[in-house]
Amino acid sequence: MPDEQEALGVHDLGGRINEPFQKDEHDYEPWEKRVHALRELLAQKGLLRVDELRRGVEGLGEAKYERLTYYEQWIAAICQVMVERGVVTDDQLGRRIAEVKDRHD
Amino acid sequence: MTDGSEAPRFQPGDAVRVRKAYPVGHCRTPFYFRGVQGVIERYCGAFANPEELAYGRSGEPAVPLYRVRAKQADVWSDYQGSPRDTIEVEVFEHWLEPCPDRSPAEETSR
Amino acid sequence: MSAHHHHPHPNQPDEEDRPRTHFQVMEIALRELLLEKGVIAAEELRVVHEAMDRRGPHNGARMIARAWFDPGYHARLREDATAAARDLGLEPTWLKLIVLENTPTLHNLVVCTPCSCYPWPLLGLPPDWYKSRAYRSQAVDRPRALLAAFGTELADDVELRVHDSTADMRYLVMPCRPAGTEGWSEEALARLVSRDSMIGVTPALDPAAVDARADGS
Repeated sequence: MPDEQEALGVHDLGGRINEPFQKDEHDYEPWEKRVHALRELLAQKGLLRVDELRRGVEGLGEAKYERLTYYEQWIAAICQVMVERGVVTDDQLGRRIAEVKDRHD
Repeated sequence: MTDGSEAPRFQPGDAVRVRKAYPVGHCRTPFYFRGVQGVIERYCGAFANPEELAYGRSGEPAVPLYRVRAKQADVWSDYQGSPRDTIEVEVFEHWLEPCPDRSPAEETSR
Repeated sequence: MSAHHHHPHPNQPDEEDRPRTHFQVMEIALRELLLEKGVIAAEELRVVHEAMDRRGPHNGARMIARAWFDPGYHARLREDATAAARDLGLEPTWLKLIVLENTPTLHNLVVCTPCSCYPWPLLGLPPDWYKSRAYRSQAVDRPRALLAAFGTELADDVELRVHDSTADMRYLVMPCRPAGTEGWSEEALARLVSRDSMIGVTPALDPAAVDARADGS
């Protein structure tokens, strides 16, 4: 039934991807390990459930889900949840992102 | 936290079917497994519902979680592999319904 | 995969680590805000990084080798794999572990189709291919073809059992103990237990390819 496909989550990949499997691996970059550590620490503090993180990643939408790397998805979702929970405001985050960019330009 | 006073509905060996439903939120019951008939491989315990946790809610009361085993040939119409091949998926109780018409003798032994 | 024995102090910018993408900038921005607000502390991050550095497939390999070597531990692993991990001083913390035992007629394979759950405390961070869209898709619908990509072929009378890690359980495959390893020490046995064999894409390493004398290297 074609309409069923409308109900598919972007993440729900079992049996859907025909592109050839590639046995790739890369050494984790320091920033990726920092995202991982941040996620673990926030989880330990009860500020981020793994389920919220997953839902945030799923909510990035199909284009970003396909295009962003794993830890790009994570940091985007973590920021989303931090704003939702009021740990930071979106305004604070937006300003700091701009400031960090300026610092390194 | 629930004290587990609600007994799990299913026992290992019970024939079950994974419900076909199409929720819009965070769902961990894979699309490919919905509508599949299998058997309970084990009861894992009760856990907070991820569908609620995903939105910052408590996910309580905890929901019984099971591992459900099915034959790959029953999941994929064009499965290429051995007829013995199986798949086991963790499924929460509210996604399962009993399937009494399925014969236990058909099950793959451990 | 080389081990990273150096990592920058989390609260000091690393000269070699200029952010190159919007998302790298995002990580810096969020971390700074959280530190400034006192939501997290630099010391806490350091502790988490150190715990991450202690993780690697050597942890899972120790468990498997111990089970091969010691029937009592093997029984423990079957009864309560999480407790068995703690018995070895590992830090399973949140882990709810199930060990999947391969036999001559049963081969287990682990995947997480919805995201890429993995038993980090016992295997370290997962390889990219485990998290790839193709793996997450094909491990469930064409696992034998996927195993072939790793050079693993199973006879038709071997049951290939795939485990989709969709909820709270995490999985470690116990590969079959290779023939010709009678009398090997536990340390030597551990060197046969590769990360890939504990995911289930390969069997344990060939003893002929690995020095039986555990020289600690």
